[in-house]
Amino acid sequence: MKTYNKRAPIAALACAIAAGILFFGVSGLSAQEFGFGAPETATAIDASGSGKPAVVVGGSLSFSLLGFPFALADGDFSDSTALPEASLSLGASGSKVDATIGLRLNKDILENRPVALLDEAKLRVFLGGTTLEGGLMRAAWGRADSLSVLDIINPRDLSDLTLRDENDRKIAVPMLRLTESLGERASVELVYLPWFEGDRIAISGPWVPSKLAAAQAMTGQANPFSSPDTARLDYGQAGLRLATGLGGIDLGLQYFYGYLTTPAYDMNPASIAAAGGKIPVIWNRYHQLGLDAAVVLAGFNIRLEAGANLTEDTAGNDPLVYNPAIVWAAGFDKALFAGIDLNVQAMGKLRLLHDKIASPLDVEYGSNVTTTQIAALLSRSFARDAVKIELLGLLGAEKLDYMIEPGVTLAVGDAEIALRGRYFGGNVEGDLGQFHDSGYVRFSVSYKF
Amino acid sequence: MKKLLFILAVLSLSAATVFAQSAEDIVRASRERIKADTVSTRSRMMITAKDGSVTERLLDQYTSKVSGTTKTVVVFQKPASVAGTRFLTISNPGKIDDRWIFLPSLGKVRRIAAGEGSGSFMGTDMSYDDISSMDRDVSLDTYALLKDENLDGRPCWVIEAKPKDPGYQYSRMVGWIEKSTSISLKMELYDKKGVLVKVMEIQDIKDVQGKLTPVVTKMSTVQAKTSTTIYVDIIIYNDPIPASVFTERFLLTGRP
Repeated sequence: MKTYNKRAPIAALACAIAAGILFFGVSGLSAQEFGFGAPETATAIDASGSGKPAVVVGGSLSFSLLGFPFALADGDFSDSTALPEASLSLGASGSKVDATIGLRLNKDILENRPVALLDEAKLRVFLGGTTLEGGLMRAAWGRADSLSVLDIINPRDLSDLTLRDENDRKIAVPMLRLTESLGERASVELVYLPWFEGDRIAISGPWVPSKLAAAQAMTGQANPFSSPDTARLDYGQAGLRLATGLGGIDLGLQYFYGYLTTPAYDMNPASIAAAGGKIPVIWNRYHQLGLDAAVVLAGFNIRLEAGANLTEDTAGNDPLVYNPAIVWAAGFDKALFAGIDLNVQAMGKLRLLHDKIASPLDVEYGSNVTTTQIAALLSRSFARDAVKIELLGLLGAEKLDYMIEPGVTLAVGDAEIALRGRYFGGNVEGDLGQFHDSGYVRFSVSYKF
Repeated sequence: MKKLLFILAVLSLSAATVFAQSAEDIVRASRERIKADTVSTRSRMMITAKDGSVTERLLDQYTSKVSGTTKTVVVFQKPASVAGTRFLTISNPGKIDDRWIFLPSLGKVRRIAAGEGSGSFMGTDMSYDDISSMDRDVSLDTYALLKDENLDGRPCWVIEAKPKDPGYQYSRMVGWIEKSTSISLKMELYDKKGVLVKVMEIQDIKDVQGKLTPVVTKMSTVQAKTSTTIYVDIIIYNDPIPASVFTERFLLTGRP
């Protein structure tokens, strides 16, 4: 599966960081001062840490069979495949520092984007209550489980809709993060990203968005877009997040100045001609101010997020800039009866200055003033969590498109066997419905070591 | 005559109150038996399946008690599938516990509802509630002294505890508390239908820093015929634990 992104220069920098970690990091490490130390070294006598470098090698191996039943029924075997995948992590920790390098290896990465072999590389330095981190990293902001409007630091990999975990969808990007502890439950976090990377989308394979397919048909090119080089310091981004607690409530306040990871497209024929027949991509700068909270009320574990995305289209009529918007997310989980757990999440966007959108070339022309997604997950575990049955439903409220995902997982020792499938349906104009009447079944075996 | 009946009624109520108070005192004495500001442990959890196969978990636990507030952090070390998972509980007298968990796959700290306390704790026979039950606030339950009984030749009080919160995962808990040491040697846990679901037994006790300490504890799930045995390999009392261990930062980084 080919994808559209600007990753090569970023990966080159990350490789340099990784080399630095290996060269400077591991050689200077000694085990951390607090706790019992690494499992292999702790003894009853030496309970406060061994004093020796603590190096941990870990990873995972998985093997999946991926089938697209509807395509297979039509005799199309092109996307159904076997997917061996491996990840390897090398971690080293000392009294004031730790370092991690993560590698990811699968067929798609080897064939199409070998630079993505380096999945993560980060170095953390602990200076009292201050933590300084740098490298190719993922960060998590906001409180929502997965449908979040405040978890905006990392772009997402939307090229593979078989990815389930939010952390797997996040693309690690270069960043520097400084976290200062402000007491028992409060901290302030500063993040700086030297440049920008947008969401990754598929340009071939089963997950090509319908709008991209239309653009491919219009331009006659597999990659119909022309994007500026965003791996430059003038595409730098920064943010600040304050987290604290008030009684039984966890609270967060954040500000971010960066780029929307969803691109705008210049569909003006003159612009396309000037770009050599490709559609110019414009990345929109914006400010985000956000608030979040988590609280338990009457057995409901509630999480709330709200924010304002303030783009530079303050008049609402710039066709190449998304309008400012109010964004929100709300969710809860609740233990129901007979061991069944329910997790409900929703997120939405309310566009401001909607009535100012007049040009047919406006990136938001013809779209709804609101966007709402609702997800519900029912799960039940058996035999001390060894067996888990899940049913996930995701609905696009405005377009009435949906995705349904049943699944069952079985833990066998330290291995996991999983059988899951997804079906997409509903209005073909929706984000989910564009893959109308398609779906997949995936059988996988994985082991972490 | 009416006056006599009234006095008898008052006396019987008083006797019941004294009896109940006595049971609560016994439980309180058991829970407060070990006087220590902090406890640090490294333990192995041996999880036995119905077919007899065993998987192992290695975890560290740090507990601090300050001004009636008990704070506990559990750090999973092994195996790789759970390594890096950290769990923080803050218990305040008379209040529902505050709980947070950090899962490496999630990448952030997540508050857990008390209602989730009945779920299996990381695939073991213990629930989240069981893990914190040794420090459970005495005022959350009502108590009755059922009988005196010898357990493996040890004279015990047998005490029934019923949670005041009807939403708690157990309807009653019956404990055998040794008279000479106040150690809770055995506990039977009954579900909301009154069916015995789990049995907790202390299998070995050692003197650690002058304190009699259970070092092998087995929790059995009766119907499933599975069990989890906790072996405490290292235990240190009153070893200073930085206050910053009981924070979101520690959950995120593993560093105080």
